[in-house]
Formats: sequence, structure tokens, C-alpha cells
Amino acid sequence: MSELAIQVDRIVKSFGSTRVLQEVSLSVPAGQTLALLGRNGAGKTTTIRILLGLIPVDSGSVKLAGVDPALEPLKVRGQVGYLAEDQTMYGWMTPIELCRFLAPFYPTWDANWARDSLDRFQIPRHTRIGRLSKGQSVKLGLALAMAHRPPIVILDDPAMGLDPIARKEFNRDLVEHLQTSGSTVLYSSHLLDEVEAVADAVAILDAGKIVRSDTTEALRDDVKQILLSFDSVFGSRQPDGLLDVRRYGDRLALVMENAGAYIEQLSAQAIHYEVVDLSLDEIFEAFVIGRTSDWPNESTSVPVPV
Amino acid sequence: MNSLVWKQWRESRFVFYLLVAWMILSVSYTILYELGHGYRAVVGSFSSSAMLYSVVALIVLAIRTSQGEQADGTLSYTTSLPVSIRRIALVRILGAVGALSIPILVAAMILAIALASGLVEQAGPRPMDPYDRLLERPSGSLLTSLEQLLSVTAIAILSGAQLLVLLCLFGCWLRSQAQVGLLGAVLGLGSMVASGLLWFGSRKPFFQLIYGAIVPQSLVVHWGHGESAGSYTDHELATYRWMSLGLAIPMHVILAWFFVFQYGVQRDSAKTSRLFRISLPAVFSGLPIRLPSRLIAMIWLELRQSVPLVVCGLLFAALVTVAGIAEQSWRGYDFGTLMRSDLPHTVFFTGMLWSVVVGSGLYSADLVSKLGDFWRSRPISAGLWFWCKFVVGLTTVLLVLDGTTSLLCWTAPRDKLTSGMSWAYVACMPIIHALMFSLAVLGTCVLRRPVIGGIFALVSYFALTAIVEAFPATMHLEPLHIYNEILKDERAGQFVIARSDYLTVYGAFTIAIVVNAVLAFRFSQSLQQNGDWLRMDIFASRHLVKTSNS
Repeated sequence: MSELAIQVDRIVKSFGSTRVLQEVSLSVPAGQTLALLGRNGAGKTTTIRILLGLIPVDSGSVKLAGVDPALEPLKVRGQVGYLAEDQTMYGWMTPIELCRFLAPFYPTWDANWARDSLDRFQIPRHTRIGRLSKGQSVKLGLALAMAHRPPIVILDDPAMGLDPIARKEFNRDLVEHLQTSGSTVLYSSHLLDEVEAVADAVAILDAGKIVRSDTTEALRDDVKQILLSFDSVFGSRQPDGLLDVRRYGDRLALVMENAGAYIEQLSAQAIHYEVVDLSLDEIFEAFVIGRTSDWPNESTSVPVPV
Repeated sequence: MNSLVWKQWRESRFVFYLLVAWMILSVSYTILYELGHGYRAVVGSFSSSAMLYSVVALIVLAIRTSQGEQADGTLSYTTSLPVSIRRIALVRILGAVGALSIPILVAAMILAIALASGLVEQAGPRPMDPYDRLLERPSGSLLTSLEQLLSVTAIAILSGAQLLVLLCLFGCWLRSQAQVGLLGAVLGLGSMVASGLLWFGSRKPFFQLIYGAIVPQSLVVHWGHGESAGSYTDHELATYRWMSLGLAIPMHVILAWFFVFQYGVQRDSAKTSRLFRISLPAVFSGLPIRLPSRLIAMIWLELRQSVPLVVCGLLFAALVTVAGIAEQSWRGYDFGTLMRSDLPHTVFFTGMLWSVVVGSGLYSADLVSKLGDFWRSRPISAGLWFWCKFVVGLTTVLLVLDGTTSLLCWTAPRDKLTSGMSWAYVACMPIIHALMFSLAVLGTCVLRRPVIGGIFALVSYFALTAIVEAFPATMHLEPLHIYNEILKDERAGQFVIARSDYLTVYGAFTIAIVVNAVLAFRFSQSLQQNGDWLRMDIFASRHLVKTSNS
């Protein structure tokens, strides 16, 4: 796990006067599955396009398996299995024709594996791709992305547009494949339930910046919701690492980064509290839309018991 | 209703300004050319240029009218508004007809002022004897000239409007703007063939009255004449043209009514288009083909895409030839011999159109983001992708269209200048077809829209030839004039390919093909689409900036 498969070091990218990525850094060790989380427009697809050498960076550096995609894009793309959101393939080809077409571009193409995948995913081999269902197309995309047994797989919101059942089915197939392949995976999504099951680590991208990057377990341990009474913290200084504050009558729900330290502080002050574990979805929400303006200070109205 | 009209205006005003500019430039060219040469043929020239304008403009307008909201993804929003979709469709079709017609009317008014002021004159109407030359006819009175101008204006507007409404109607069922554009090109060329197919002129005026109501283009026929110092277009109008046009209007209204209803009903183009998909068996899928290298894989891919497209072009040329045979005497030949004799002349001009269709069609799908993302994310170099496509596509066009025609027709009778195959054809036409192909590729790679790219190619070529023809000093460099001269020499037993004009013009074309390809390659490499300004709402975006600043 120590060797880095994907290394992104302080990349900056602007389109015109709009800065899309600001000093983004990522490190993905070989064999790890990293979920790149972000809202629409956060910069996920731009990051992935830079990783594939499709667009250049303004500054910073990128390496995939030790290769700079800006300098050797074809070498990088040969080692990467990529599946994009709503990707279209040649509609007049059949799945087996597309496999034949792609095979010469990948020295490691495993034709038997590709055929087996088509069968396993129940994709008709000789039906034109334009006539496949949306779910079948996405699964075909996955089979094609994995058929050259790539050491690195990049998935950019692949299940977007599928209905909930088809998405679950696709994710089940995806998990099976990822567990057996041993590939390094960068999975970009804003559908958290998809990635929670497969992600070893998480990077949260917001407005072009990485706001948090850690292993999934460490993130869950570090970010907690703390429930306490309004009065107990009224007038005190806003703690470091506060991500979100919600007020429910005379109760407060805080979402804290580095929650352990704050919990110790509360215990030392003999303040009663409850700790709630958060899902990845809730953690993500706290990072990107969390508000701390409700922290009770002098200007906040004090609840009056009725 | 006012809001709908305002929306329609905001959506189409950029195209409208372009079309008005086109017709003003066109009529200015006609007047200046007449002032320079004095042929007294302004109405014929105006009529032929208005007809060409109509065909191009109707395709652009029909694409936006029938498929614009689907392409922009705004149709579902529009249908959710508290207004009948039929009313929306009615405003769209009326707006499109207005955008097509007003530029013709503006140009006609400018020409009418030029005629009324005595700046230019028009020869009297063409008499019964078709061999009576325009140059020998006296000038017509102002009233007669204005009536001629009014007639050709009405014919150009009604024929364009008819095809526009028809194309919009078909567009309701089609899947994409490119399909509407392709069908528009076929309909436009088909209408030109149909206008001559059963043209009765003044010989059978009552038949012409009926036929003119169905095919308004047939109410005027143009005759091109070349003189030593220039060329002019004579025209002949059907006797009962106004009655024909009067009968045509209810047919237009019925077609428009169908469109209004279909636009309302056929909202989901993805579902309805399945009705029109031809389900051909995937023959190659079952064959155990192995592609041993990347280059062969790319060649195979491009052949699979280009050959069916070009074969359609050859079949289209054959159909046009059959139509042409139907309207002429068979000169004692059987059908097969006549086909072989007339096919080269048809392939010569349909090939110009179809080279554009193939050039635009091959590149457009691969440049849009979805399919573009697919191949760009594979280890396929942009150079291999572009040059394979260009070389294979061009070779297919030349082999299937020109090569097949040359082989099939080489031994066909050559009893007319335009019949049979010739060395002149072999020397000139493949280069012109290749030039059109390269222009279409360049237009599509720059603008990222196949139809606009195709129109760019056609307009570029015709503008170039119009400029060359406009000046007596450069007239001899007009490519088809050179072809005709070589052909005449060949038929006279003196085939001289090394004429200086040929080497200059066709040599320049060959260089232009390479330059176009290199430029297209450079433009195609960019991942981002750079044709967004062609969404035709640039003024709207400026307005937004102003608003936000304020």
C-alpha cells in the first residue's frame, strides 16, 4: 500500500478567469479505492481529465504509476480503465465489435475476460450498442474499462442517470470486480451511498479545493455529531473544527472535525453531551454545506422555557 | 402570445441578421455585376441566387425550429408552461417562415429601387422560342420588369417556405439536428431535380398550373449563358404562375398545421425516432475478424462509417440520374446505356454535396463530448484518429463516387458535351470533391456543428467562384470553366492537361486541401467545444453581462 499509484501535487487549473482547481493535492496508494466527493461543479471531472492527460494544468504536477499524463498521455491511458458519466459508445457497433476494435490499443487486453464479462452482465454480444438499455450500456462501459486489466481505474459518476435499482445492481457488480481485481480506483461521485461500500479513503473537493482527505475509517472516527444543551455552551468561544451547527429549541447539534479533542474539553467542563456517529453522506454534507452561524454567542436569542 | 413572439425573436434574431446580410450582399453583387457587364438580366440572377439562399436558409431554420428545443433540452420546460404547445409550435413555424422570407423581400425591394431609378434594366420576358437570346431582346418596361421581379420573389418565398414547413414536419420525428440537416440537403437537391422533372413551361400551361402548386420551384426556370466577357442567367416564368401560387398557399397552411400538431404530440424524440430506425442485421459482428494493429483497427472503424455513407451518395446520384433520364429523350439508347452516359454529370454536382455530407458526418459525432470522451480517454492519439478519418474518408469518397462512376461509365456514349466519362472529369472532379470534403472537415472541426460546418464548405466554395467570375480578368480561372475548356478540347481530339489555368487553379486546390486538413487537425485537438457562439444567442449573453453589471 506504500507505493503511490496516483499522485497529484498542488495543481491549479483555470478556464478563462474562472479558477476551477486551487492547489489540489491527492495521494492514492496502489490498491486503494479513493472516493472523490464533490458537488456538481466542484472540479471532479476537471481533475479526472487532467489525470488522463486530456487537459493541461496551469501549475502543479500529476503522476499516474510514475508517468506524467501531460507528457505521455497515451501511456497513461493504456494503464487506466476509465468509465465516464453518461459515456456514449459507437451506437452502430455491437459489444463484441467494440471489444475487437479496442483490443489492439491495449497490449494487456484479455479477450476471454471481456467475453465472460459480457455474459456475466447479460449484455447481448451481437445487438447494436445504440439499442442497449441504459443499464446495459453502463455495464458494457465497465466491462470495457476493466478488460485490459488496468492497474488504475477511474470512475466518473458512472451510475448517473440509472434508476435506483439499476444503480444498486451496477454497484454490486462493481464491488465484485474491484474486490477481485486489486486495482487502484479513483471513484468520483456525489451519490454517497454508492461509494460508502467500496471506498478505503475519501477526498472531499469543494469549490476547487480539497477540504478533507483521509481514510474512510479515520474520517468517521474524527468527524462526529455532538448533541448538547444550548445553555451549556452559550457565550463560549466557537470551538476549532466546527463544521455545522443546528439548533433544535434548547438543544444544539454540532458536527465537529477533530471531535475527540472537543469531547475531552466538554468532559473536563462537566458538560453533558451525546455523541452520534455519522454516515459518509452526513460528513460530506457538513463539509460542503455546513453552517456555523448558529453558534450561540451574545447576540443569539436565549430560549425561554415555557 | 407577446412573450412567445419575443422568445422566438430572441432565439432567432442572430440567424435573421445573417440571412438579411446574405441577401443584401447577394443583391448588391447582382446590381454591381450588371453595372459592370450590362446584360440586363438582373431578375434572373436575383431569382437564382434567391433560390440558392432559400435552400440553405430553410435547412438552418428548420433545424432550429424542429429540433432546437430538443437539442437545448428546454422542450420539457417549455411544455410545462401554462400555454398550449400548439401555440408555441405555431409561433415557431411563423417565425421561421418570416426569417426566411423577409431577407428575400428586403433584397427584392433594393432591386426594385434599382430598376425604378433606371440604375439597371431587365430584358423583356423570355418568348416562346427558347433559342431567342436575351441579349437580342429589347429591355422590358418598368412595369413588366417589376412584375417579373415580384413573380420570382413570390416563387422563391413560397418554394422556400414549402420546403421549410415540410422539413420542420419531418424534423418532429428525427433524432438530431444533423439528421434534419441531411434530410434538408436531400430535399433541397430533390426539389431542384423535381422542378425540372415535369417542367412544362409554356407548352402545357394547365399542367404547369397544377404542378406549380405542388412544386412552386418549377414556376421559374433558369438558363445560364456564358459569354466571352462574363455570364448571365436568363429566366422563364410559367404562364399561370399567380394562380399556381394561390393554390400552393392552402397546401402550405395544411403542412404547417400538421407541424403544429406533430410538434405538440412528438415531444420525446428518442421514442418516436425508433419508428424510423432501420434495423439492419449486424453482419460483421458474427464474423471472427481480428484487427492486428491500431492502424488497421482505426482504418476498419473509418471504413465502417464512411462506406455506407458514400454508397448512399452514389445511390442518390443514381436516383437523380434516373429522374433526369425521365425528362429527356432517350436518343435511341436503352436505359442502362443512358444511365452510364448521364451518371458522370450527376455525380459531378451531387458529389460536391455528398463530399460535404461525408466530411461533416464523419467528424461531427466524434467531436461532441459524449463520444469524444470515449475515444479520447483511450490510448488513441489525436493524430491517428484525425488522419485515419481524413485519409480513409477522402479515399472512400473518391473511390466510391468518382472511381465507380469512372469505371462504370468509361465506355458510355459521349454524344453530348455533358454525357459520358472523360479525362477532363478524371483530372478535375476528384480534386473539387476532395476540396469540398476538406472544407467540410475544416468547418466541422472549427464550428463543432455538422450542418453549419457543411454550409460553411458550400458557401466558401460558391463565394470563391462568384468572386472569380465577377471580374473579366479572373473569369478564365473559374474551376468549372477550366473543366469545360479541357472537355471541349478533349472532345475535339486534343486533350491538354498541362494548361496553365488548370495547373494554377487545381494546383491551388490541392494545396488548399492539405492546408484545410492541417488546420482542421489543429482545431480538432481541443477538447472544449469552441462553437458555442453559434448557439445564436450571443446577444442574449451580452445582455446578461450588462444586467449583472448594472
